[in-house]
Amino acid sequence: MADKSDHMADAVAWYVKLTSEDVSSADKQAWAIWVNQSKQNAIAWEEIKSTLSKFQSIPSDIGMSVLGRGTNKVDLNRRATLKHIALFAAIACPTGLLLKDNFLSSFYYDYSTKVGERTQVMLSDGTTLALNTNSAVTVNLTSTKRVIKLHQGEMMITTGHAIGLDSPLSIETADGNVVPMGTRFNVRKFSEFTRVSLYEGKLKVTPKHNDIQHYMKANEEVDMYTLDVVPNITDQKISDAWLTGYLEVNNLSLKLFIEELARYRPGLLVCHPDVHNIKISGAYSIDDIDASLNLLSQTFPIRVQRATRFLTMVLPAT
Amino acid sequence: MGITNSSANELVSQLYVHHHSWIFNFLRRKLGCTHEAADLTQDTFIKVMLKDNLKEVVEPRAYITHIAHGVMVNHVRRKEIEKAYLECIKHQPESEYYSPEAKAIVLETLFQVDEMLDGLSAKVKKAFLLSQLEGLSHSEIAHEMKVTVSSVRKYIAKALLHTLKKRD
Repeated sequence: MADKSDHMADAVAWYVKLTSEDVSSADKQAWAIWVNQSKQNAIAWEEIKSTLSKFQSIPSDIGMSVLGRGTNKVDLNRRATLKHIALFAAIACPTGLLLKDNFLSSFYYDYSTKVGERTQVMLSDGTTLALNTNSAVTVNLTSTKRVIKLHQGEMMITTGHAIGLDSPLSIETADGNVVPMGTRFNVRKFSEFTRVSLYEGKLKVTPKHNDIQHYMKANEEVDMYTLDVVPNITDQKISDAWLTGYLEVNNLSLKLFIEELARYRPGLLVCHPDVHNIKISGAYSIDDIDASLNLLSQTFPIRVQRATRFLTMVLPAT
Repeated sequence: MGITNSSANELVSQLYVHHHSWIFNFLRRKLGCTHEAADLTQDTFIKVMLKDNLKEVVEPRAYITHIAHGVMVNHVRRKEIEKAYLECIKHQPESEYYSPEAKAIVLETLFQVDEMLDGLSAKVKKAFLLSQLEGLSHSEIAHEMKVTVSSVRKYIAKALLHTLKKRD
């Protein structure tokens, strides 16, 4: 098997080729074949995207003078970095590779939230869509079909009495699709699968690469992988408390609890291994993470240390 | 497991007791500032504490010096970047990058990216920055830098591979 660095070198060569002025559509097709050929290729490409996304959040004038210090400076006309955004949008979508990057969200998605943000919208067909932290969706409502696609993050959908449009509604993620029949349900995209939690009504769940159809009843929760649908086997059900600004858990380990809280705040929030197994129950604010951490440190033998503005550590109490 | 954990904690507190004051003095001498030295001493011990193979450390003094040195180099680099950044926005008082949140986020990104680019030659770095930050095409960069397009492609490939390796 090829070494990881080979995939990286290939991915870099593809990137350079695709950003050339003379890139042909045959090149793009060849790239699409390459990226879908193996998981390693796809991973290498994702790494390039996430590495380059760092640059895209830097204002170019500031970046040139700060990062380029030492290299001789030139006077440049200001240009937007939109070229690269266009590149990724153009070649990433047809193959289903997702843009995971916040910065691009406002250009590319219909609705999106930043880390720590939450929003609620009512679509023109009467469907209510609530987006949790760091989430992105595209919406396509026509007279023949209505598609809501979750690209990343988590959303709660409440279907309304279809206003004007009675075409079938389908909720899609990279893992498959969900067809609701008069319901309220939560969809959360994890890296490997999509967790669907049904609160009311019925749902039909179909994984992307398998013809099976799974019908869900109220209060059921399943994990949809591209090849299969399986019940959520952990004892933690997704609570809809996030809609009102709380993380509700029942006997969850501190390790996982902190990982959940970390979704709502930029920067790093880490937990010391010695306190991983403390069990947490109750509802904690996701709008005021500091308050939640303080509350934890009053209840459990832990202390919270802010190492830098970006790194907060949950440590054993001394 | 309980035993190893508590003995690891024990080890950390011993290291702290034995090495705290000279590390602090070492950093104070290097930085010339008591306040910064205290902060960095703290950072050093947090790093030491988060290592899981602490028990295998044979020469704690050398080991901690090594970590403290790394912490200090990072700190100095961070200050350098912050200075260049403030210099840059000085002339744009209306800039949105004046808000503390934006400043913190941009600075952190700059710091990470600067570290990723560390070690690249000036030409390679410049070609890469022109493509990523200014959005210039390969031939525009070639023109700007007075080199061939194929050199530009080599520079960009080299820089990208370098940053990817630094991430690992």
